[in-house]
Amino acid sequence: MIPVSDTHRAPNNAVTFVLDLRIYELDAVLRAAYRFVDGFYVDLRMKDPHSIQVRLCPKSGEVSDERALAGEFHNELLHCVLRRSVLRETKGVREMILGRALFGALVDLDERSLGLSDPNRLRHEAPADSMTGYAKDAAGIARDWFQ
Amino acid sequence: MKALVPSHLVLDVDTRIYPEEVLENVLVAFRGVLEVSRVERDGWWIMIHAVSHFDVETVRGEFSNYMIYAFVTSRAQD
Repeated sequence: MIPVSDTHRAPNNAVTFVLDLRIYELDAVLRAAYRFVDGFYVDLRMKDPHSIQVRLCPKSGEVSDERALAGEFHNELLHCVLRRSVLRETKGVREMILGRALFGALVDLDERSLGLSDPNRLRHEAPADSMTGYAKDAAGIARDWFQ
Repeated sequence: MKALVPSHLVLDVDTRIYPEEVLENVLVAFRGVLEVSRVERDGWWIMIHAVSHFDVETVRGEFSNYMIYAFVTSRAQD
């Protein structure tokens, strides 16, 4: 319970304590702070590059036990750190599962229903271009040379 | 609650904690609460001079909370 011992009561009934950013990521601190915004005004300030000051000011009423409040914040912080750690460790697996799920959801085109399996289909449906008239083979290009 | 006399307040934002795009989003969300008159930059800090008809301490606290909310939601996919 080391950091909680740094807790003290500030003016406006606020509770302040300092967190070491070499232990807790800034992102985790902000996520933990977000859990307290319902009941408190949360103010975060960098004290130096390695520490951040958290100030919790109750929106109404008073804080009866500042150490308990700071302890709750630290517990929430640990939860956020753990959550981020698990997310990071399972990122590859989650992406693989999502990829497989998306791949499995691909529409399976039935070639027979589209008529693509008929080898004579294209021959039967030769385009009749009215501009050039190449389907009629007017120049005799497709004619057998030996006929 | 809205006050009859508007108050001037300075909101300071530490860019080491909050990226500037988060601040921009929050300022947009607070445009009905704050009338920003001037924005100054001093090292890591951005100072927003504004006028508000609401209680200064409440505005300050809600602004700070909304900065946290905007930060967390901007990284919801992480």
